[in-house]
Amino acid sequence: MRLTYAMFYLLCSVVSYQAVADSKAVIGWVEYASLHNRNISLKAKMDTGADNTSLHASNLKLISKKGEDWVRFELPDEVGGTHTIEQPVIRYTSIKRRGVSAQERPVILLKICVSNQLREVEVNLTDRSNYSYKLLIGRSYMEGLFLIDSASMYTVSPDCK
Amino acid sequence: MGKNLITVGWREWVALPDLCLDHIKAKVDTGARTSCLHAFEIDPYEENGVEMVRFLMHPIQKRTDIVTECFASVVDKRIVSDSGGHKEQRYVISTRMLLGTHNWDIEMTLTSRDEMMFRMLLGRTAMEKRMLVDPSASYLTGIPEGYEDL
Repeated sequence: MRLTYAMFYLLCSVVSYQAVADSKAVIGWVEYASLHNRNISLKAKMDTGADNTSLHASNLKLISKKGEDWVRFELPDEVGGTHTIEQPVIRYTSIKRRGVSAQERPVILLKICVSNQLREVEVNLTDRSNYSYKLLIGRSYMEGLFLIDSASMYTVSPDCK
Repeated sequence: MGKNLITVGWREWVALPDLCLDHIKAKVDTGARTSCLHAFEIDPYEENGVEMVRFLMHPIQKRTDIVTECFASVVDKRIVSDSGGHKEQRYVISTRMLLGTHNWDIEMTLTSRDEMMFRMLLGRTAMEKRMLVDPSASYLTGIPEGYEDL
């Protein structure tokens, strides 16, 4: 009897694992993403070649709040608006770059919505004004949620509660 | 979206038989448009009126003692700028790629940059309408025997 229960549970866990594996949604390599509770929508490149997520920040300033490191920066959206964001810095990351010296970037936590998925991730801040996409979403955000189709763009819209 | 797309991880072992490269680990990179192979001593030459390129490469990460000599015909030359803003003349070659049980021709640029962690990047142009990338997975098409720890 005990064995039967064990087998039943084993079967259930296999089935639920399968359901999770199959539930990853297919999205394009560029999608609109929103910053949760901020009413900001940005074009985001879904980059399987990147470990982490990176966001454009202009006029980036390190400030001190209650003895903590914070960052204040401006983020232009896709419709001509500019948003000022203040967030605590959780750490600094050093980015190795080809041919030039390494760069220190502040890292903040942001809740990002893609399709109907809301996930809080570490986001490093840098000047991306020369790039087409102000938000680059790396694997740590996408893991377990999405499969990326290199042949399509703008297949879903951010819709998170 | 087609239904015959193969799902691969963000790292896969592929083969480039025309270049005598049986096993090479590729980073599957939806953030890159073109595919790219890390090569050095890239020398152009002509064979029966066809523009060719001969190059060397280290097929295995972190093993600079292993060198393979490759030959390919040049399909294009491009000026490419990298993330640091540097411009570089690059040769574009076309070659057959084997991935799992599938194979097709892909175009790749040759780059001599040492800082590349992966010997090969597989970009969007080579993947379009053929595969989906699972950012949570690696080596879904298998690991060649003897290459488990590389």
